[in-house]
Amino acid sequence: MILWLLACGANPYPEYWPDKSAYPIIKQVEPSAIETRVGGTLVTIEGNRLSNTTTVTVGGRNAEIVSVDEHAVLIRVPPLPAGPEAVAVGVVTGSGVATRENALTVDSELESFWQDEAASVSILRYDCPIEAWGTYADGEQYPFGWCGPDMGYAAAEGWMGAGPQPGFAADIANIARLSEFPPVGDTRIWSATDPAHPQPPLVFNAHGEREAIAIEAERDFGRDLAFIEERRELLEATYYWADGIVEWTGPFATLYDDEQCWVDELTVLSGDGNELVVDGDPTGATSASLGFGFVEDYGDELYEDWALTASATVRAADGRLIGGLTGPRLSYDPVSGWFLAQDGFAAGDIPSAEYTVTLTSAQGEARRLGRIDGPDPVDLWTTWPDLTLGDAVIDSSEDLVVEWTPAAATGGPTVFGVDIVIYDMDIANPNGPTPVGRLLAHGRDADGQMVIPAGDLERLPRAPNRWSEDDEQQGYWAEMTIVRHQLRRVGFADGDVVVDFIHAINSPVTITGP
Amino acid sequence: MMWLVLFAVSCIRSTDDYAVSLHGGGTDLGAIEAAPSPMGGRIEAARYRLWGSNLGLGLTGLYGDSPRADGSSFVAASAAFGYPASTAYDRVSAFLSPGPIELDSCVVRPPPDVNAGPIEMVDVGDAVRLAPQGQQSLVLERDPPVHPRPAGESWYVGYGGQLWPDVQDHPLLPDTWAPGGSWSVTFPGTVAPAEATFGTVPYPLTNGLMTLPMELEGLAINNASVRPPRHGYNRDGEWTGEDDDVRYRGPFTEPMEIAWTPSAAMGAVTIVSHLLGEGPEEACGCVADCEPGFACEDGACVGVDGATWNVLAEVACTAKDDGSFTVEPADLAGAWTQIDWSNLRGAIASFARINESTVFVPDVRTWNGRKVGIDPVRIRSADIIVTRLEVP
Repeated sequence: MILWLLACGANPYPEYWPDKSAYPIIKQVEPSAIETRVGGTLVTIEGNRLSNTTTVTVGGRNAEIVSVDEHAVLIRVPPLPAGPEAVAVGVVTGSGVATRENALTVDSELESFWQDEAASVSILRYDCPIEAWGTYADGEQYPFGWCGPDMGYAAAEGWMGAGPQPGFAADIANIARLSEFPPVGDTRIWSATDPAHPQPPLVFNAHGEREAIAIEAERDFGRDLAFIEERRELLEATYYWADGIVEWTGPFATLYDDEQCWVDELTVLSGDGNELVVDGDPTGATSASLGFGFVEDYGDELYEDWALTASATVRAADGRLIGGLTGPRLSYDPVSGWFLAQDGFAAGDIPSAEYTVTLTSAQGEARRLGRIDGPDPVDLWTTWPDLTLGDAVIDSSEDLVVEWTPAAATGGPTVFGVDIVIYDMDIANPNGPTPVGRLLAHGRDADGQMVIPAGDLERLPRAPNRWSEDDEQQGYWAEMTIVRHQLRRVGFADGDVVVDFIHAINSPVTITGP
Repeated sequence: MMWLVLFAVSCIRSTDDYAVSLHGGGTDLGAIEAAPSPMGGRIEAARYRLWGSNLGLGLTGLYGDSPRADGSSFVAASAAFGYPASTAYDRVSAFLSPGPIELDSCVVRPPPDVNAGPIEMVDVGDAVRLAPQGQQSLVLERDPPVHPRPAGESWYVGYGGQLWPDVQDHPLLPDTWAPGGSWSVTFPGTVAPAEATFGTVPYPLTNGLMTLPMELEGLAINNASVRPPRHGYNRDGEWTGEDDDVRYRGPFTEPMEIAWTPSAAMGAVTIVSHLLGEGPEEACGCVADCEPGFACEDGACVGVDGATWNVLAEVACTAKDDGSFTVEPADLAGAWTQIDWSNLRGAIASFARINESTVFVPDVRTWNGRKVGIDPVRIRSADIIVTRLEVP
């Protein structure tokens, strides 16, 4: 019995640092607040017994140690992923460890807005040119297919993990993530060897297969038809071969049944509210894709193409189509843990309108949480540089002036940015194109203008945007994205559902310079 | 009385010497595999060249086989640490485990299992870095980037879990592979949150070293050069028609004769034939929904040559690095006791030079503040060519 008791008292592993009186002490961090998560800020950890500090962490990430003495450690704050606004600072010396919880705060309007975020939704509208321009070996410039007649797409996803997830809505789409943004008016530049900004730490949480998050607005087919006309005008204005279009067709509605099988394609005669009048019998249709078509004269043949602009759930009634709500309905996917949008989600499915946020429980009970304002997209016609043409050129020896029409004021924050990435297309990379340089600039949306200094642009590799003989991208290519994030929130039992409406306009751009 | 009768009966049983052997490996266990050593982790890098038809990324354990990636070259790296020490870290590779210890011998192995067994994971900081001295190369980021709080029992730690392009001599990017070169291996150490359920190494590692193997060159099977498949265009950019099919006769009914340019170091070359089963990938309604190299069966795209991520059994050989080796059908005999021929959908072969060493790392601090040594940690690098074998 004595031996047994002795065995219980013994531990095969000794204390790591047995002398607790030698442990370091963190009294405070100066400054105790930083403006962004991009990293690089110098802060001082003040305390005692800090000599021989070997390791410092801030918010769980390793900080660069600049200098050390008995009472202070000067560090450079590491890039921090989306997360709580207050983070812990930890120090390891040769004699012990100390951690001070909530020692450093990321202090900004955005951090305050999403501090109670418990469900994150990202809704992206992505516009891009039908063609991109590049240079062939003979020096001639020609356009080649890029995004096609759709000129963009839409995507939406949601995440509802097992714990707090502040700032995640603005990061999960991976489009100019807000945790990467420098302060307003600044630019941030990555070289080819700089590590990417850390991703948000998603924590899986099991949900019922019937659970869903819906961000939906009332159907207005008149609005959908106006969007079709807007896209048709955009295609006509930006397509290099538009003179060869001999006929515009549509607008049309392609109809599918409840097994997603094609039913019919009918010309749309008119639309108003949730009623769509078509020139045929829509019986059996449960969903529809809306869009337009056009016929091109290639000289020896005619070629017909189509552009999809929106989608709708529908039912037939009295020879007409009655549309369901517009906007994404995100259903829980038990394989990935994400809440994913329906197929066929298109750019026109995210109109400027008032949306209702609804959560559906595992039992299938839908609960409306409240209403939020929809997005105010970046105006494609007044924004400069004009990325819809696919032929923009940036001269890195001059300041780049970016201009846009500010968004209407709403209850949530609006963030405007420019993201330029240069890729080496000659590298066979299993992950996709290999970035060799990047610039991210943060503007104030209400200003309607920002200037990216030539000195920053000159730090980027030049991108001549060359086509190979096989019409494949060759060498360095640059892509520029003009992006607007508009954040909304509505409360529920566990915190806030935060929705980030993202509108991104992306295109290849040639970067020239000395 | 009954016991006495049984005892007497047993005495009249005929006895003899029986030839008992392990599957394909002779009778001396020590000659087949070196005795494994308990280790506290493994840090690995491998350069893959997929030089055969219908090869996907499934063999990396990170992706599926669709879309196929034959002809590509890339680098994979990973690291994991745990306590108490596990022999799995020594013996099993996340990419390609070495063959038997005896030169010019083969052994049949069950499907590889890269799990280290019942260990507590260990966090060593934001990233494990593999690089030429003073430069940046492969940064094996920690997954997760930070430990979300609170998350309790769901905490885990892994490093790597991604692929890098095979970059050498780029004006802006560091080399991701350098045949015959040496890389430093470092990590920064870390402090875990108070409620952590895993251990940490609080101090940095600054003196690890990984030596990359020499490039495997001049590889041929049955006198045919092993090469990447052509994908429709020739070197002049002219369309040549359909993709050509690059596959070689495997050692199923006749010997598979392998040749390569021997190294001056005269070490060993590891040759592993992987026998593949079926593996469904994305959903489909018809074959047009599937990528090239896949058929649509029962609503799922299925690789017509099997799934590289579904290894039923493998035959691993260690050949003296003298430029030639032959895998005999008899070397596969043990495999047919493990798998049913009807389940075999395809086969691939991997040829590799593998370097192994160890590194001593600072002690682990357990979740409750105790000190545990995890030395040594396995370091392994491999240059691997993978090709497709014909299955009769």
